[in-house]
Amino acid sequence: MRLPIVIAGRRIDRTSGDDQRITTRTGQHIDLPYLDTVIADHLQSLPDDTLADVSVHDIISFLHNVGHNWKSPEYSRRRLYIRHLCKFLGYSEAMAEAEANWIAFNLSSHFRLYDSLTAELGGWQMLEDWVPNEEAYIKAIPHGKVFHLVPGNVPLSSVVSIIRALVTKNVSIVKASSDDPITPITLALSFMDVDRNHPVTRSLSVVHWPGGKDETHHRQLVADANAVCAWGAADSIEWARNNTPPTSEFITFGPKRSLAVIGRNADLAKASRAVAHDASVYDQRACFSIQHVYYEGDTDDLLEHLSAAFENIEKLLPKGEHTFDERAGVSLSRLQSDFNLSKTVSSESGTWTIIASPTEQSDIHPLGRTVYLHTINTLTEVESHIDRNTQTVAVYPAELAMTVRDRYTRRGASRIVELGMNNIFRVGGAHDGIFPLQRLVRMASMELPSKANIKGIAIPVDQTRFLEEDRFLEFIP
Amino acid sequence: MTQLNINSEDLLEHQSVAATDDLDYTIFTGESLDLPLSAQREMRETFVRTAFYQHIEGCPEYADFVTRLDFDTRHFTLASIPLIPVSAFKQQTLTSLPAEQIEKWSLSSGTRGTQSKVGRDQTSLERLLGSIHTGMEMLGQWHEDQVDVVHLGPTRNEAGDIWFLYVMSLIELIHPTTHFVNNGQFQSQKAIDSIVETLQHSDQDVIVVGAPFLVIELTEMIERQQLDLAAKDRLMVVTAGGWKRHSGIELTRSAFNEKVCRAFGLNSDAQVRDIFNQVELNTAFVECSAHRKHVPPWVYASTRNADDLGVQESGELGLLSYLDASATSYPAFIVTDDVGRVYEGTCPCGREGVTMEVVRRLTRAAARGCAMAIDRKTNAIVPTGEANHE
Repeated sequence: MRLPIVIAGRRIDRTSGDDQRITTRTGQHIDLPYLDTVIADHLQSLPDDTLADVSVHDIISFLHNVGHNWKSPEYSRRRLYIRHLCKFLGYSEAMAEAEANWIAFNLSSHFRLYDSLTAELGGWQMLEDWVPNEEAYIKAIPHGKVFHLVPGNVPLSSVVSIIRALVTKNVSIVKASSDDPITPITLALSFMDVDRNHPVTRSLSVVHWPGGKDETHHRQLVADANAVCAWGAADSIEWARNNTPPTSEFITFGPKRSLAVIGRNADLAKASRAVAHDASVYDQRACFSIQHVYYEGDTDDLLEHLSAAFENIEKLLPKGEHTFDERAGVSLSRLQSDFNLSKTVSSESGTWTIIASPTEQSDIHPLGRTVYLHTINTLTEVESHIDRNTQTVAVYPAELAMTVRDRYTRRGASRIVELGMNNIFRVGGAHDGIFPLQRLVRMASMELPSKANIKGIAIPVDQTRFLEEDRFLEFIP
Repeated sequence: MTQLNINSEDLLEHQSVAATDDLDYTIFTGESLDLPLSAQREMRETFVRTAFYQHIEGCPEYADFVTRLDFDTRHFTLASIPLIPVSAFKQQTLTSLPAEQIEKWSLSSGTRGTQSKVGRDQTSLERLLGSIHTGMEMLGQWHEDQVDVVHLGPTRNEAGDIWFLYVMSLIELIHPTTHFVNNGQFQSQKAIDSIVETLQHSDQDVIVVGAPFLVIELTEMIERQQLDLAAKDRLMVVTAGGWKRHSGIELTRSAFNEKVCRAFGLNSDAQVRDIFNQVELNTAFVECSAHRKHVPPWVYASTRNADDLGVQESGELGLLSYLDASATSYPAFIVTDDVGRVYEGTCPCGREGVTMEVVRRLTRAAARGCAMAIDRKTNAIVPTGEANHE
């Protein structure tokens, strides 16, 4: 299959160089145009203020219209997208459908976008006008050009990253992952389906080069960006960090891991359904995927419920295709667990694995719908497993959050959520310890003139006069 | 009863090798790789079965594992013998002999966080040396004073517990050797001077032994200095230790061979050989002139499929696994993190037997994307896998 790259609403099918061939996890090939110096120079010459004078309303409405297309099962690009996720990324059809639905949801939920801006910036109006803020008027100014290094493990990540930049009126250059070039390119094409000349369409470019084979003009795109959103594994983030100038905003997501805590006397059937869901979404490749479950009770009591829950999820959201390495990793972990006296339960087809581990070990977690169960006597025992690499701690029942939130977040956890809700990032919640929308703008202020009293000083400020009369002390409250 | 065909006085700090059985005879005669395939198969069955019984007798963890699997210890094939994942050696100490019989504890280089720890008794260590000696026979036949080894590594003392360095240093027990890593510093110029001196002022041959990245460093220095070594057939380069460690070498093997041949002025790339070993394996697999690594008949090598770790056909890509009968101090019945192939038949070099190749290191989960899979003991982020032999 050939995919184009997309430059500010223009589809580019050929460039001066040879196509770049990607071999996907299913062994299929995708050819993409080489990002040559001509295109890179063009990208650098593009204005960084395309959305500066476009209203938030216009941006969100446009995204809503794009999302409306994505919502339709008849939309040809959605249908193609689902087919591509299955063929090239190995997704099961149900997983691919779910992904398309989440993309539609994120684009269409105009009220959520307004609310997110308000929650993170203090008011969406900050992007439109100068807003009074005590002794100043302030405005959220977009950074300008945002470079996105997006991951391939969670397709929705690239959509989220792009939407965040657009609603904050930035212009985006997206470097698609070799693991999933399909999602950001399909998204950009779906913008063009609605209006190829719309400022939002013109504010999105999606390019690709193979990881580790970057050239000077590729790195220059990062160096010229006013902000960089780097998602993914440690080496990807390190690459982005090394190429981002110190004056630019650098925003990172990942790598992280997540875990679950089930309290004593929990409804084990319900808790198990939630664990199975949270360990199966994205086949456990996401940073919010549950890898370990800590139960304030005997893990043997969980096994039967959890097995049934995984079987149920397998029917609803069949596991996708896995590579030799992924499957071998799971087999080695099972063998390791058997050798270590752990109780291992897995489906006949190997689609899920539960390891009731009497020890703390797990070496390298193999993912692929594998959970390690650990018995704990008290909730505090979980603390030693939480650090700044921990993103989500999912608890069951939900009330447990009140008990553990202080201690677990102090240890480093970014989020406390109810088990079963890991993949839903609530409006107002933080992402990896930050409010991303806040980091995508800089706050400018226009402060009140001298005729407005400084709070606490009874008379208008005339600093020279204060010096002449040496009366400053009189005005200090 | 056989003596090792070496005369170093400090042979592993012991005076003699107690060759107690057919396995020792096979190892120490140094001719095992030239035996007919049928004889090798027969030996393999016997040696590995005997070792299996020894380890279920001696290693309680392995015996317990075998029992829990309801494994029929009377009727079984080599392919069905329970395997230990190499990660187990990172988490626990597995021995088949009392602790006082362990002569040396060795550690993997630990490129993935926690290190494997393996204990070896005198017999295991001597058999390892025997395997190296057997493999070295494939490189050529030299009397002791006919060859000078330039070792791009430290002495055995300096190598300490790091297995890879230790194994490399064992060459000093086979041929006169000079070590060119001192206090962790690679003395590349001295190594080059030594090679030049031997080639130009003596009639001795030279064997350069080292990790690929150090060999590369040496070749680049030779090229920078525009030295015309013209070693022709008087020099061999023997590498071990993986391809990308430390340096991120992007060379293919054939490009590496070409570079080495050019720098040293070699007649043929058959003079560039690689050796494979890892800390959990007690035998070194040495390349023949056709660049195939030969597996001696006391090791059952196979590849395993990804789903149930079942044995695959000859030549099929899979997880490399070894049942190494030469280890007496621990059950060297392992499945590794390496992906490769095992062949049985006649090698292009003319020998019959089993050969193996490592294609790459298994990429364990989450090396890509924003999910993190960590080693719980070190919090070390798992790097992208490479064929990194320990």
